[in-house]
Amino acid sequence: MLLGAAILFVLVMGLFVLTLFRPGFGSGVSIKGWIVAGGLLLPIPVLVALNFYALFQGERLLPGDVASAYRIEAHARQWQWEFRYLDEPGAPSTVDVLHIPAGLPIEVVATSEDVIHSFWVPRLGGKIDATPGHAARIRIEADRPGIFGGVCAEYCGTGHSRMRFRVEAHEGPDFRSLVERGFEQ
Amino acid sequence: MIVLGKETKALAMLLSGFLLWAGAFLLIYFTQATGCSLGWQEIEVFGPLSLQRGALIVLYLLACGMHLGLIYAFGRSDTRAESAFAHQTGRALAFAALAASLFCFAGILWLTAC
Ligand SMILES: [Cu+2]
Repeated sequence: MLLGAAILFVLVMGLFVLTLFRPGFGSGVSIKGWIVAGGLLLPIPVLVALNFYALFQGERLLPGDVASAYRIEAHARQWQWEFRYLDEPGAPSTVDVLHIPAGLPIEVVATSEDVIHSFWVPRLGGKIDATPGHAARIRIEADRPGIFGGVCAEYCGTGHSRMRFRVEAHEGPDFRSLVERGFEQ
Repeated sequence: MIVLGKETKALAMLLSGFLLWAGAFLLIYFTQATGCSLGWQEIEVFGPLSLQRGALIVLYLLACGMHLGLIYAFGRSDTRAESAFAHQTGRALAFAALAASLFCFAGILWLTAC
């Protein structure tokens, strides 16, 4: 993605610099030719490719086979996240820290108490709005244990920028014992 | 029938194609969200075709039909009576808007509905 953007940037800036320092450059191509090439032939394939890439990525983020995924509710309010472990009856909820088992698809059910928030952990996948009255679902997965930063990605009031959280992915057995300890570390 | 001034008519010709696209976008988006909320994706109406996808396909075809109708109207209207530029450009935009609708809304045919 970055490489593609760099190539396009260099191409456009290169053409721009050439027109500055080499008078008459580009006059071999008609004005209409430039418009068709630069305005249609160049951007349309790029945008179409990006569009399909985004759509396929979007399909991958959907809950899919719901039965097999580990379910967690991300309940948002101004201005914190409360994570409820739906598959762990009796386990306490955690605030601004989400514990997950690594290597397992996690279905996050995003809900909100007040205004629209958005659940987003950039390293683990896409984001989903948490809308009052709705339960929006998204799938995330951490390939290996680690700590991943998350933010509220929808402006939700004066505390929005502080509405951060972190996801801690643990090895299966570690996660199990953490749940049994009631998330006391 | 409303009689439009020459300038208003020229403006209407320029805007018509993509206003139609925007209207179709709103209607399809509205139906998608409402259908999901009402659980239409679970109701099968025609073999494996759900009510949700069926409704969206009907809207998709309706939108394409209206685009074609607009293009037809441009073909029939008298070019000499109006600004030739507005007519020509409006007609080109009507084709572009049809292409935009065909492409943008095609996702309803194959993407997960909800
Ligand atoms: Cu928020």
